[in-house]
Amino acid sequence: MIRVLIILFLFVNITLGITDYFKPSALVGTSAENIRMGNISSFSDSSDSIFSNPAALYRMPRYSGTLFVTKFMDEVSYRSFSGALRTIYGNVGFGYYTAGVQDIPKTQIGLDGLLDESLKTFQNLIDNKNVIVERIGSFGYKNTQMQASYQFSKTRRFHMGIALNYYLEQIASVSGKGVSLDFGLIYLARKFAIAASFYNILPNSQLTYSNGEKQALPLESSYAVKYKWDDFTILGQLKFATSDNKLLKSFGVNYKPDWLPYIRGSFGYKEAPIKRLIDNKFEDTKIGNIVLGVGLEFRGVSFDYAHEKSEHKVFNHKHYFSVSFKQ
Amino acid sequence: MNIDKTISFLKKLLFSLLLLCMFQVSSLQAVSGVGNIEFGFIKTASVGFSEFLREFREAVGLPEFKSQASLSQNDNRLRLVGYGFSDTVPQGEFAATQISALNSDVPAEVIGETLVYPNPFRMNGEGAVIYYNLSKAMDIEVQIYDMMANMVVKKQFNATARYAEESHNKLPINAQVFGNVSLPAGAYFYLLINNGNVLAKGKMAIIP
Repeated sequence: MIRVLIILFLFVNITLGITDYFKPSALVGTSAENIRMGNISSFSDSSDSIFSNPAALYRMPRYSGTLFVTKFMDEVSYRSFSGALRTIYGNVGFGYYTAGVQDIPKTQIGLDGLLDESLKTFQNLIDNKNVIVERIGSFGYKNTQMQASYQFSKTRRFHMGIALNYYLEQIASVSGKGVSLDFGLIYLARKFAIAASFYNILPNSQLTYSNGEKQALPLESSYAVKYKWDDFTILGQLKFATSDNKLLKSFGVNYKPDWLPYIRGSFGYKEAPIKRLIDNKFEDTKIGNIVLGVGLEFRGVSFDYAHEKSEHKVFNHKHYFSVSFKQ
Repeated sequence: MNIDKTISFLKKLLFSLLLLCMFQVSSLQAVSGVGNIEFGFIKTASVGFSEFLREFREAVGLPEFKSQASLSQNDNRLRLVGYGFSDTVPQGEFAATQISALNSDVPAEVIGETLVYPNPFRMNGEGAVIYYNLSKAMDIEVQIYDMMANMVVKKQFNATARYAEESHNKLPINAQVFGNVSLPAGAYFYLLINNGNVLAKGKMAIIP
């Protein structure tokens, strides 16, 4: 186990990709339950765990499903559905994740009082006060990930899983498609568990677009640990993405009291990489956010909510909802 | 001697007030401030500040600014400090050649829809422009957010700067403006903000 981890760690973190990277929408999170614990989902017993670590399917009962929704800035809709099934050949899972934006204005240059079509150049657009911009329609943006995964157990404590991803990004008439492979491991000890996930491990994983451009699917790896202490579950995770060259930290604490069997609450902290230009100063950094939320579980059905502050000026809160069922 | 100076000053003041009326001053309000005078104005982009001051002085009928007088231009206010006035002086709003009148009743707003052209666009190369029509020159802050509601761009423009002018403005978005850094492909959302108030919002998409 340790040797496998070391080899995969070196492989993932030494390989260098190309400069333009595609980021799957599932990075937002795949269930409110995981998001409220710092977006650490390698140990989830719900089917959405396949998006982060397919080895987590070892916890599946007979079948399981998860629905997840959220909306950012009243514009970007995130939706996902995942399911998992226990078979005699191992556990299988599938997932569908989509993020979309509607009604993005399609525009053209108009001439305010000028008739010469030759003035409709980009430079003229900037320089000439008489050149205006007009809406002539709208288009949509959609980012979709479909996944099929398979999990098997080598021993009672050592579990492995593999997931095949298909990505589709559509921006107006331009579309990009790509395939990648993820691999996950989980090792269980008496009081704790460790997990490792490796994303986009196929060489040259990328999206190819209809306009001839390409975007690489970044090699990423994450290493998580879970420790159970009384009614508390403590989680920690380190994630490394070659595209950002940053080590991202997450942790979460979940409280599930014995005396109140249906309710659990948790909080966590998660980091995300960001490149931005603030007041003419370029920043290549990471931002950390506190997340918290509650869950209600009854007879195999659980409802979860998570909250996170947003830096958006108007929509400065993010709300996540998910419902899971297992049998 | 002091009486002569006072009479001379009052003559200049009277002459200034007459000229104010000639230039269709829309409103006058008294402002207190011993030794200071303050005017509101909008300066057109084609006029340099020194040229503006000269035109302003001629229009209003003020004598040559003395060396001990200090001038400041901030928030579209012209302040002549220590100018020698010792009583309440008028604060006017002026219309003159290449000096358009400031109408304090004009609300700070974006007229019509704020759009991006072309849309979608590529960051590398020409990029695109955010097009917006301001009701008057004003301080403008542009914020751009990615799909995860993370702020990826924040730029501020003073009311006297380019991209904060009255009427049509076209703010370029390309890798050059962003320090040769491209935003990844995806959908983005922008806000135009004045004094903390969101005046307009819009969305755009970047293709690889």
